[in-house]
Amino acid sequence: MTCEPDLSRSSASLIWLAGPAAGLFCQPIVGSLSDADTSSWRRRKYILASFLLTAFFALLVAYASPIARALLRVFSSTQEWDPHFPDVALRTAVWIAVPAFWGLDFALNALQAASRALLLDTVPGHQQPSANAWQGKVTQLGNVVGYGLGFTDLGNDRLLRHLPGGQFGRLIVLGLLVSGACIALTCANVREQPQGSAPGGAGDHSDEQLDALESEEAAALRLLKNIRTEILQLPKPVSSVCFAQFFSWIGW
Amino acid sequence: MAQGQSSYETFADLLQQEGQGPSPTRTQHNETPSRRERYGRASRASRTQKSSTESDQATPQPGRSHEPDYSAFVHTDLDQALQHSTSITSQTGKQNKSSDVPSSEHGPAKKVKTVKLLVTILSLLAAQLLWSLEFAYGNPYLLSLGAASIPNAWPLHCTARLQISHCDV
Repeated sequence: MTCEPDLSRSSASLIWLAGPAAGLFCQPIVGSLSDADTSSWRRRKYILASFLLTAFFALLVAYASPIARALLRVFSSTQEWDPHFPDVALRTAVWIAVPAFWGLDFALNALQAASRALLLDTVPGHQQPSANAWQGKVTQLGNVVGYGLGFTDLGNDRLLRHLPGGQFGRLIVLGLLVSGACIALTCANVREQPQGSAPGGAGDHSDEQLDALESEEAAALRLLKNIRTEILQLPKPVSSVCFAQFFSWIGW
Repeated sequence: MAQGQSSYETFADLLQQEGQGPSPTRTQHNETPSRRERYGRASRASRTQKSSTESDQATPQPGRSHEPDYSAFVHTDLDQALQHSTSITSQTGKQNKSSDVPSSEHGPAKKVKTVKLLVTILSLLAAQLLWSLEFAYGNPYLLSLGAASIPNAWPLHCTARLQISHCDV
């Protein structure tokens, strides 16, 4: 019993691991996938999809406990009259929440990657510095608002009082509403250039046919290969920026 | 490529100065002297790098050759050259709207208004908001969910088992 604090602390690291791991896998894959897309919704498609996934996983995390109870009621032999029911319900809730937390991390990373790519796509080169500056400001604003929401007492709020779930559930619902509005605004107002086929549309078309013929696995393999060659053939300035970022993160 | 981009930018700047809507005839008539001089110089000294990039833009060539096509700029007639350059300008202006012309790899040439920029960044704001919510409150929430109270909850427990063996339970 003396180990209880240790237990919670080491399990916390497992969840912290989810963020970087998700970023490592998700960002290049989403970037590469949306690069390959040629439609006029190439980035926004991924933004919307990853936002929907984010919402799904976030709600799954926030309402893990009621969901677990509902599942147990339907599928399990352990019913509410059972003295073990609270234990089993909590265990089930953790089983739902932790994978959902990982899913949430992946979806959020995809959302970030697609949003950054959209910014890069729609802003001309000479405006990129100011775009970056704005991005930094807005990111910090998001952090301030996000952390600041913790001080609000959502439990007694008139509008949110009827929502189930504790403070966390209400926070998530509120955050999803706000960010959903933001994303809807972005997607409705940004015009993307459809990336037309490179010189010689016929070649591109045959490429598409090739894609259709290719099995799912082969396509995934080619995607990973693409990412690998991209990483190996990074231009010198870009790779040095990457190294600087990498080591500064370790320092942080 | 960098050369091509920089001349692209000057076109964008020119568009900006002209008030965004350059109909070829109008821009031809109210030419400012500086601009006239600029293109005059470009057309006369056709050997300069600048004009070579312009002609690159006008007729996209596969691969960047060292001796680009100067045919557009070899006339000595200034007005004719000017007309040509304005037609290039209007082409680049149109390029932003027409859908069949691919934009350059470095994004569109037209300057984006700050409001539009902010609208684009809103999606990043959304991502960051959710991210901070998740990281600020997710951990305590998950732990309150039962990591501490339920020793057999595997997903949270697996890393803890090692430590338990060191403890005197």
